[in-house]
Amino acid sequence: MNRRDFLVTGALAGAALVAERAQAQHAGHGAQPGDAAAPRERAPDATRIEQSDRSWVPAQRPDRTPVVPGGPIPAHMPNVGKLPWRIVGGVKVGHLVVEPFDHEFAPGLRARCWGYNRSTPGPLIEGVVGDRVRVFVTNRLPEPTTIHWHGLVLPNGMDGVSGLNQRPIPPGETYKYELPLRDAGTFMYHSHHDEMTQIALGCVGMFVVHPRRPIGPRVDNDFVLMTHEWRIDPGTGRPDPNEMLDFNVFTFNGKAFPSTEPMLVGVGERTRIRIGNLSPMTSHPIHLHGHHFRITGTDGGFIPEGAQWPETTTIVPVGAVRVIEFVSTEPGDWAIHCHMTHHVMMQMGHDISNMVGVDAGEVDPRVRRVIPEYMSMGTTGMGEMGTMDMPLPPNSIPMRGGPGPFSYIDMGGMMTIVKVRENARTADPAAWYQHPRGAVSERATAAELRDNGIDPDRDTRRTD
Amino acid sequence: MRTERTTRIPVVLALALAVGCVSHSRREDVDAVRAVLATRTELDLVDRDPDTWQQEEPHVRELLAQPLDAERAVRIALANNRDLRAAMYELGIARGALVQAGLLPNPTLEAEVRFPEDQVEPPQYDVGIAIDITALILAPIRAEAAAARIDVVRYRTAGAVLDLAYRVRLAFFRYQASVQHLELMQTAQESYAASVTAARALHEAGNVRDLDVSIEEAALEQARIDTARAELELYDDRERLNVLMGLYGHEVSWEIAGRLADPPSEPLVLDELEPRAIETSLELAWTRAELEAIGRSLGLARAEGLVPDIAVGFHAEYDEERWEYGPEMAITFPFFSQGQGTVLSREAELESLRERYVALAVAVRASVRAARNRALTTELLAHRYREVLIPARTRVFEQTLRQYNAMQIDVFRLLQAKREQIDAARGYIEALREYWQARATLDQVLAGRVAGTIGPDVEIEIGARTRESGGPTASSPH
Ligand SMILES: [Cu+2]
Repeated sequence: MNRRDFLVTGALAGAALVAERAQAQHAGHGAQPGDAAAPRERAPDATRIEQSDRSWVPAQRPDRTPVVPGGPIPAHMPNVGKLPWRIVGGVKVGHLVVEPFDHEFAPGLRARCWGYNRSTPGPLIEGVVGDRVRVFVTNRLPEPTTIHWHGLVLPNGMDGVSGLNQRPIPPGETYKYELPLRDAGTFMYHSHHDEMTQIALGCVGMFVVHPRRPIGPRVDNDFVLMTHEWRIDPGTGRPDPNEMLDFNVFTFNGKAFPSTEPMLVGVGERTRIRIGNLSPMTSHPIHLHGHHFRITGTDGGFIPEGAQWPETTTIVPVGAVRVIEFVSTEPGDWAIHCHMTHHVMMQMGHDISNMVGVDAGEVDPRVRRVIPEYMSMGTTGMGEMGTMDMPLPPNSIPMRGGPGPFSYIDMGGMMTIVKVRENARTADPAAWYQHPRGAVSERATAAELRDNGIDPDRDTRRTD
Repeated sequence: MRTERTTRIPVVLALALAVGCVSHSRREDVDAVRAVLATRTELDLVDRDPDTWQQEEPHVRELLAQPLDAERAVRIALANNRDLRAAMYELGIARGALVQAGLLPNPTLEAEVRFPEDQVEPPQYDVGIAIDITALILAPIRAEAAAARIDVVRYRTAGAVLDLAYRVRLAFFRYQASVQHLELMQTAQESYAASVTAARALHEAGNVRDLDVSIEEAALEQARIDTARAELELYDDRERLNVLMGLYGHEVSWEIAGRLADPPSEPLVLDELEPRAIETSLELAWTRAELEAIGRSLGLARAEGLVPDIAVGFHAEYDEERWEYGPEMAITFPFFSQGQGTVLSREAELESLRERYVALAVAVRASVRAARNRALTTELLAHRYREVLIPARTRVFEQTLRQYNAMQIDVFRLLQAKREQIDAARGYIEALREYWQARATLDQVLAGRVAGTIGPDVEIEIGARTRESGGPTASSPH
């Protein structure tokens, strides 16, 4: 047994307790462990990792009560709550407190962020066309701030650009914004004072305005995702707002996989996902597996059906929103993630030598003469890096992915799962898909190889 | 014409006594040196019959059979160092001077035959014997003056013993540090070699440029040269010890025991240092003895100047075909010369030495304070290295290893961090060497020898003048 095997085994043994806790929690959610009909409750032990944040297990069951009688269903923002309203004289009144707080990106990685109501992104602001909303903003940051209502058409004095449209809100003071919600759509909100710092630290949020009657086909599920990117060096505890290019933590709704709450939908259901991007610097090509979707809107409005085109990936530029809609046909667990490969990699160090293909048998004994703990890494690729249990800098989850039903999933960061189920209303949102027999890629048997005329040992020839 | 007549008997007796004493006195002198040392240090001067000094010391072979520590090396040097033996023989030189000074004046026999011009007259015979009475009277005073000189040489010889022990300790700590230094250099070189191996493996895989391999190879070659230099230094340091221990031939294959010890955990308590240093100072002791000797020389010069030079004798003359007898005396009156010049010289010499004595005391006090400061500072330094810097560097490396595990840095940066850790360890070895050498310096000053230097840039070596005839001078440890 080499050191790597030993370490992985050790890590897995430590995860047993966690698995038990997870099982107990599932039991309270209807699905019975051991019930043949119920989805498989837990991943094999060999694929589990420590989960200190259980917020994604199980996933939320979205509220489907229409926002107004006969109107569309409410939006659901995984991992993020909604701004509560109080009605005062017919006006929806909400309160945002912007302050530093401790945020968990995924188990093992926390940082001191700035955000709204101790959340980044801030709570989902949800209204209906015709509403008048009044948002009080209390600044508990150490510097002034403002809020800009990104995409909304509103009186200029409410637009929130510090210095241009208003005086910045000094620390300790509470300002008031009053917005008429004229247009339906998907919008955003964010700080517009010292944006570089405040957005990098998390002062962003989503703002959904529903039409009173659905525009286009009625959807069964309405999700909101917000992309973000951060620079958090392993061992540090605060995102670095000075970073311009080399980001190393990528999130949907402030969470990195496996802490991203999956989205549970039914077969045959129409689903909308509103994707907003307030990353400091980078566009994200968001790719959905197992579906074709159409882009039905942006933060500028709705796209007429004739102008929509089918896609599997849509680039969401910085400061933009893309609304996609799709109908699920294939049950299963479908990944949705940023297609930039480094954006599904946690805390990757980019300034290191390329070790792929290096003969560790040559290097390791030599280096161990001076550093006995040394082990070459990445010589056969880096997929397993996240499963290795070696002493790491505190508060870091470098290369870390998450548990999957078959094995460890080596994607982390900007990745989540659309869970398509036949019985979406009763299924456990946390459970993995149970595949029909023979419908999972498996090792080919010798007979299958023979019957199909495949000889894996034959010399590879380029097929021209 | 003088005639001195006296008996030879006392002369013969005195001479016999003096010569008979020489062998015995050399042992007495060595014992006196040992006594001087015993009150100042735990150094053990091997008790050997001075007459067998030339022969091989069996003790040395026993000591060499085991790995050496500093004190064992000192014992070998004390038994075996030829310069020290030469210094011990200087006791004999002084003793010889004393014996010479105590000898009585020799009588003078004078015989004369005169042949008259006319052949008729018989030849005339003149026989006289005379002795210098003044010299006879002054001999004990001269002997006393010379005896004071013996004290000077005894103190100086004790100083030479201390100096040798001190130099051995300095050289030993230096060698010990060089051994550990070389080990660390070799480990650093290993890390460069590992970098080269890694670079070549990466190159083999097609992942780095020729340039990257060349950079690592050049760094390794530089490290090899640095290690070779460290090795050369080690050999030099070893030869220094061989010279001090008087070793040659197959004897030079000794090994050392252990490594430079960490400084003791309880801090040095250093008080009442100046009185102790003044009390034990050999320089002051021998300068006092010199003052005594010069004082006696002055007394002698005064006496010689004032006492008339008297010679008495007995004279016989054969004249007119018969013998005539009679005593004889010659007196030189100190009429013009009363030895004023010599007295003046001696007086000036005395006053000059008195001033030097005070200057020396000032230097001894400064020397002990400097040694104390150095011991305390290097102790602090070594403690800082051990308690703070080394753990800090270790944490740096551990955290670097974690960053490596997190794939934030690569193997090259990791090896670099290891080298930085090694550098800290080298700094610690250097600090330990300085500490133990400073302790040796302080012990040396407290044992009675001015040692060390004051000030890092001016390098005023104090006490150099007073050491010039005190055997080999102690080399500066710093
Ligand atoms: Cu991306």
